[in-house]
Amino acid sequence: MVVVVLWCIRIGSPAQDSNEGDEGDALGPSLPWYAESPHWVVGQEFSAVQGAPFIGSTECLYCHPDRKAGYLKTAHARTLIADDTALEQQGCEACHGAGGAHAVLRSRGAIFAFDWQEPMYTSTICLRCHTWLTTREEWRHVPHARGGLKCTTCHDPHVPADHEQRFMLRQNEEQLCLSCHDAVGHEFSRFSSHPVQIEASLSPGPRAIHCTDCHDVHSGQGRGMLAEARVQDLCLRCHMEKGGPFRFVHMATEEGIGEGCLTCHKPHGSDSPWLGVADGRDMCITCHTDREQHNPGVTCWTAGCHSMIHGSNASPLFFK
Amino acid sequence: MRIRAAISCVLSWLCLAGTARAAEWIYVYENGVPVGYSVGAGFEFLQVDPADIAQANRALINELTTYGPYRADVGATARLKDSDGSGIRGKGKLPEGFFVHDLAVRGLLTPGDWKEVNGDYFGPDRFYVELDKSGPHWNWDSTTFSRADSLLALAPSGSSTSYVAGARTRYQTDFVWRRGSFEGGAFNIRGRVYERRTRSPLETGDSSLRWVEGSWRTVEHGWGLRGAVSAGAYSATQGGLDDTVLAGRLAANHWLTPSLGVFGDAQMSTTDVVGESTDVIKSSMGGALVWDIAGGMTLSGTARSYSGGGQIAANSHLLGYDDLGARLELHPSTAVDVSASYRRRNASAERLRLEDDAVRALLFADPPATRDDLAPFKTPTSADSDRYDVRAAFHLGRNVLVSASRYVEDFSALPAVGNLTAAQPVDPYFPDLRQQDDLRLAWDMGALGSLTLQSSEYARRNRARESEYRMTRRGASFTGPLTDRLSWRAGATKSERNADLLGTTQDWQGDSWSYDLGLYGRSSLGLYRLNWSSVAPEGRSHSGSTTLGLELRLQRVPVYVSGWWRQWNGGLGGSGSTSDAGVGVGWHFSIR
Repeated sequence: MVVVVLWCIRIGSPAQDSNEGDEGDALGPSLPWYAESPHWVVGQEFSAVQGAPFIGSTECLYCHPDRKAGYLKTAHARTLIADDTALEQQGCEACHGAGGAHAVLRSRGAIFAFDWQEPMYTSTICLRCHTWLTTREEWRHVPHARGGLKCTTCHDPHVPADHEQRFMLRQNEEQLCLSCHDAVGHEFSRFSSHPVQIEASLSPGPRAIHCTDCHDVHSGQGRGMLAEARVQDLCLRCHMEKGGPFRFVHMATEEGIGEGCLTCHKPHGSDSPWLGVADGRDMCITCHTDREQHNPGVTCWTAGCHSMIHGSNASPLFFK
Repeated sequence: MRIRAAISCVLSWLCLAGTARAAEWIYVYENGVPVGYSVGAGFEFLQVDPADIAQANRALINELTTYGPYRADVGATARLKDSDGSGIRGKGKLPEGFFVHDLAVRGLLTPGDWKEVNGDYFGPDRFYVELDKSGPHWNWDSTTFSRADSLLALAPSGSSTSYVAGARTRYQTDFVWRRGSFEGGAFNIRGRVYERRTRSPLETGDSSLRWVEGSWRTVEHGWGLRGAVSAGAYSATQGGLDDTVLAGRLAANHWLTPSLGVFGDAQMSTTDVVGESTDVIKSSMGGALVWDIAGGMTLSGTARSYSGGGQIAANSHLLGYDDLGARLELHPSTAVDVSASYRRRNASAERLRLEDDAVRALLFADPPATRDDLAPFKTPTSADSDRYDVRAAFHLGRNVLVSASRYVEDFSALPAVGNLTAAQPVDPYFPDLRQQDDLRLAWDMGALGSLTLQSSEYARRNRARESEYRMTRRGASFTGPLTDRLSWRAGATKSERNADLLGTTQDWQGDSWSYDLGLYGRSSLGLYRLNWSSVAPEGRSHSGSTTLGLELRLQRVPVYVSGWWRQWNGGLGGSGSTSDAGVGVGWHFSIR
């Protein structure tokens, strides 16, 4: 093992041009320094340079004053006052690693500069601390990660001073999601839709729910990265009364043989009321094809007949 | 060379010892091993005393109290034109009166106490507030909104073309308190409260929920463990629900080797249903074995079992299902992501033999029949399905992304169902072939703009009834700059819905075109945005709308002006419509 390490040591370009700062980069960035040690957790040495000491954020801001106003407005700034945590979890060095070498060499190669081509490296740094949200093992199987996204695709740790989005998001949450999922955005402009505010200024009215209320963008594994394994369970979070349990069950509402809520509803938006896959009775006769002539001209439930269409404790025909 | 390298290794060891002694070499981690770089004699790391770091950090935090931002749009809106209240309003009516929009306040009250408030206020029935308050290891998040909108409803006359507007309001509060550690452990308490009211001539009801959940998560020796226990109560005047529920769930994941992981979860809930002698218990458990083979190829095997909790169900209902599946993923680089999965489902159900004359009397008894009453008339049924899901995404160069997906769920045969009218089993109502296809092309043309093309098709086919429902959408959108100060967006989508329903007197179809056009620019005056969107229905089963909005935000004075006009037309072959137009004037204030 020692022999292997010795052979890996090579004579590199010295950093004599360090006075040129970040632009004069003699050491790197080199890739992939992280490939063989991907699970870098709190407690291990957290530095691009072996043995470099932590120096505190004030030293960093001395050379990077443009970062000051923005950084101090982020939630990350709270790490500055975490007296009971290690230096490796405080301020700038919580993400960039110990700065004791970088402060002298002024080289991007002497610090974690987040300009790696492999997105997983960036996310691994973030997930040193944010493991309560997802772990590296979970994240690497999330469709977002597989699609090449990294934490900094959506979040900007160096937000400008006038940044106004929560969670250091680069844009309003909905606009951020729709920047890739624009087809879904179109659904929300239809006749009925869930109250997700797509055009913030031109839809006068208050916000209500967000994409992430249903989609677990950090650890959702299945199709749509839903926050629940079953769509039905997701809908019932806010519509619990629709799920009964009922003595007389409308079997279409059960996910298994039927499609649960998706049998009748399009959750993002629809050209029909109630997020329906079709209007009124047209929705019902797509399955009940033998009932088209049953009281034609009225809808099946709002006309006062099958008003308990999700299920009933009193009527097998869902009358009440 | 080896001698020199050995000397370097000794120097490296000296660095690891934490000293700042002079060195000729530093060691940068590359490929997981330290690589030596010559830095010349006399090199020393910068060193700062930890006590000085702590003191400097406190000084920084104290400086933070001087920072904002504090911002909001404050103003008033007026509806200049409004159709009468009996029209279909579909979405929420335009707000009127005083408003506060996009309120954002953040900063520190005291060192270590982060707070953030975001919100909108358009009246007591239409507001939204987010609160975030946190320290170094904990966080409190809450969201409260109230939403009042209109509800499309048929008039009691029973005419399909006579509409009235109902009212629907929802008040909801969600909160979560989190305590986390840098090591991966976290403890959360979540809660949700909502009240919902519906008022229309034929649908009146209130419902509510109270829900609280305690959850935790730990990462220990490579094991990720999650658990949650929750309790809630909910009620609904429609249906006479007044139930309480207890639920719990556990999930674990562990990587046995760097390439072989195991995932598992189990959950159970028990619901105390008013008026029933037994609780309803639902349960689900599942597991997955994941093998990262090599070169971005991953193979997974999955299994899940679900029990639907039919303890009180008296009519036909689902008992549960067992799933077995496999998934193959290929992700050799960020440019390619392909996956294929297969799932075999064995579902079991109980069918009430509606063709039995004795059932009719029991069904319409008062009080209604229980499960025990109808149990002798139940018969077990089952249904098996195969589901195939294929997805692929390719980055062609740096600027083009092509993605496609398809899933097909095929129930080879669904069991017959009872029918009261026919007094005999009839063909199943459920579609036995379900399919969805999506295709998308996104092309970033750099300075010219970006183009997106997409197509999707959703189809449900009942082969026993020879019926089919199909919905397709095809669209294109383009975003790009017109000048260096003006950009535009245009989109068009064609939607088609077709139903070919055996047994009905007519097939139906409903097509529509939807368009949107936006201009976004800035001038010496300020920022402006003009949006127009329209849904033009053709045929049956579609609703139409037109929205026009203009927004102007002046740069030199903190004032903005916006105006909008919109019109909605109800579908259903009906004639209901509503239109309104308004203008709002607000003052945008911001302290940064």
